[in-house]
Amino acid sequence: MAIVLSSFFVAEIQAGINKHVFPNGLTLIHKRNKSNQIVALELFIKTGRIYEPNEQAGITHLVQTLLTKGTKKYTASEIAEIVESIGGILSTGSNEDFAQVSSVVTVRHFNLAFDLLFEVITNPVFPEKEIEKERQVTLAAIKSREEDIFTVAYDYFNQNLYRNHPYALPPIGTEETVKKFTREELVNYHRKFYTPERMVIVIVGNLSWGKVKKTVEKTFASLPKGEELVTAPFPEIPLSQSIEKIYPQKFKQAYLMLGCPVAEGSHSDYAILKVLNTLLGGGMRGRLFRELRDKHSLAYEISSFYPTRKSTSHFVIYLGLDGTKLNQAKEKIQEQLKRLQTELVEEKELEEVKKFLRGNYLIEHSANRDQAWYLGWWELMGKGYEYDEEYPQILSQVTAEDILNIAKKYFTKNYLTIIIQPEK
Amino acid sequence: MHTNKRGVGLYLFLTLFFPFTTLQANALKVKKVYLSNGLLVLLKEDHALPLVSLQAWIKVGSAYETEINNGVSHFLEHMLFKKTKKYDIGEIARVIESQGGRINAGTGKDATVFYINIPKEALDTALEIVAEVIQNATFPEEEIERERLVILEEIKRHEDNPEAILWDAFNQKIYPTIPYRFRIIGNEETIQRMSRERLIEHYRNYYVANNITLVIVGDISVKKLLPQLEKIFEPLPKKGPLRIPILLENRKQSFFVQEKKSVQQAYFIAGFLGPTVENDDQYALDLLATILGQGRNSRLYKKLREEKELVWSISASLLTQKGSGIFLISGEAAAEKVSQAMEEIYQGLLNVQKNGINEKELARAKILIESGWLFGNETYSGKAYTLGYGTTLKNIDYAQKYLKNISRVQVQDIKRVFDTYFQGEKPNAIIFYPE
Repeated sequence: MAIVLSSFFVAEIQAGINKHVFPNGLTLIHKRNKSNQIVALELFIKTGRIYEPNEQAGITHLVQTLLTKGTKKYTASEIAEIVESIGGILSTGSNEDFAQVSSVVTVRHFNLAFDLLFEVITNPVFPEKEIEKERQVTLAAIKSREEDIFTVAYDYFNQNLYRNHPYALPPIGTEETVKKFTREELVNYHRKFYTPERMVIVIVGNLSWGKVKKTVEKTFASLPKGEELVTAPFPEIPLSQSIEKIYPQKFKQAYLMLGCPVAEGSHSDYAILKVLNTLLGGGMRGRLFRELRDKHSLAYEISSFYPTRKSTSHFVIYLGLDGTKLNQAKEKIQEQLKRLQTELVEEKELEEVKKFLRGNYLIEHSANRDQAWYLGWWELMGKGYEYDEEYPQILSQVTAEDILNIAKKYFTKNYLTIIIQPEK
Repeated sequence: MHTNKRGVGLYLFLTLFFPFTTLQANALKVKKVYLSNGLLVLLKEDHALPLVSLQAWIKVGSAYETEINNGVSHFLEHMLFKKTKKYDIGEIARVIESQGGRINAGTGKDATVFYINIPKEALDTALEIVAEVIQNATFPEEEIERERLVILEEIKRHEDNPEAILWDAFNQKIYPTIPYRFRIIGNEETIQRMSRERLIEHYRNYYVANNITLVIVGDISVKKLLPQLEKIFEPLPKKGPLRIPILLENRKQSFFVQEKKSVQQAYFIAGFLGPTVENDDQYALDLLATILGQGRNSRLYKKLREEKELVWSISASLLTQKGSGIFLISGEAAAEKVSQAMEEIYQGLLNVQKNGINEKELARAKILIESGWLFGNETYSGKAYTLGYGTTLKNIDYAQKYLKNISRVQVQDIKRVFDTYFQGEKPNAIIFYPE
């Protein structure tokens, strides 16, 4: 009954997905949704922190910020005016693995929104004045990271885990790198990476496939293909021994972050790790919340996470706590990790975890922009948009033995522990 | 795009605005029913997705507290997930989440909300749990002790966030006499002495049928649900009359505070008292806040961030509450630029007082508010939230008529309304400077 139910959910969401790869390598994915008048356009570009040399850490982020700050046709102010006049949203972002331009509008404004999207992707002019402005804003944002205890802990975690690997530095860059970007560098970076074979466009809304395909054909499909870029293999990140690093900071709370390297998103261990992550840190039913918060009041904020990454990812357990409880917390965490490696998860608990994941899947696919995002994201992650459709089914197949084996595979080795201590 | 730009731009704004209102007409239509015990239920059927969003809105929050029990509403919210007559500790979360749902709650000043988003098959369970939570929590002493420690930790987390404590400080100063000056989370002293008796008293006083709105949006059948609801919620007692706190701040403050904090940039909030939710002045001020500080083409953003580069970020908004609201402008700036930024903000307000705003700005602001509404209400939970919050703050019509009221505001209304709240003095402000 459970399997039938999950297929039904999936059928509701996945009905009629169209995909086309144009001769210049551009990928277009479309899904018609007649239930409302909102159109979500997501454009993914295969560039991000992971493609930046370390001396250029943050260049994708800055380029992305500047796309809407002036093109051949429009100034920054004009772009804002167009977007605001149609009551739409046009936003840019980037992360470790990819960059993204999102536009959300009503159906009647699709043409205008699409033309603007094409303009900002293909014709940014990077005005010097805007570069300087955004540079200063970015530098201020980098400094502000130090105000949030989770961000501080996570930045230290990544630095220590990844060392020479691109993931060691945050996508926003560092003060050293962002200070130095020249206009020429930004222009060249854009020219090199913003090419059609590195782009995936996803459109979800009440528009026909014919209309969408035609619109893209007239614009993006005529862009010349870029040069084949060879990405150097990423450095290995083995943890040859367990490391603990303590950082005194001006916070009232202490913070504990413990983790280890694990498989990337395209790996066959992925779904099992996701189930394991939910078992430990999912909602208020996760083992960490129940044991460490409900039972022992060790924390207010406690969970685990396993980000989906193109390159080696990490499994992290974290909590904000009183500085005097650090040892107790470490003990309890080790107990949980040991339990995973020695005890098979009971059928009942496993079923509940899976149901939670499937329910979350449904909730997280509610809005058009969410659906568009997931379809494109899986293309970028290397598993293809079809994986979004298959994902609930794959989750159902994970067994208790799978979890035990994965726990033994990754958690018996070494850990990195980051501790933020309140300064005396 | 440079020829006739102004004309085309204005035309664009005016013609494109009106269709929004028709799109929104049905978005928040609901069936409204009072159960026999006075519980208000709002139901909306939508079969696009096999999901249901279920929210229970209780008219209680820090506005209903005193300096003795400050933090009780929030503490109570924590406790209701713990143990009830039917469900053991941790069971509620486990049951909802294992059915594929999400459950959480939030406490504000005027309202507390419990919400569940869940696949439609689990609606019965979700309803049962909501009924349990609002009626049958048992408050075991041991769990109170446990949760006390958790909340003390939450307070520390809160106090490590400069924007959060800036907001606390501003509220403390702008509301010298009314309960809006209290922190929602309470403080270490009040939380340390929070007793089981206090929690239960608060529960019995406010978690009653005539003080709650239940909102259900999604793949439901209103016909089937109504008798079911009557049955499930029938035992919930009503109580009356409920204590209504005084929430109109009559003592107008004038303050300008600068404090050194452990921050990397300067943070600022400037503002003054605004209308209550009962006052129709709010619509003009919502629009003015949008004109001044929402979006990249707003006045303050353009002047302070883009032109003069005095701030890293800036925004303006109207906080509408049951009682006196706040018209505020907030943002982040480099330490050496913030005082100049404050001066520019002041000039910006004087400019509105003297010259008002223009048609194009007003049209743009209406579109922004409309589209924000549209996107915010795309999901079932978004719709439920808008309906629940609006009803708790005022009444069911409030959310449904909001956009119509926005569309009615004219250019001259803005200047006229603004005069009631701003008479040319420097706005109150608190600034946090890096050490």
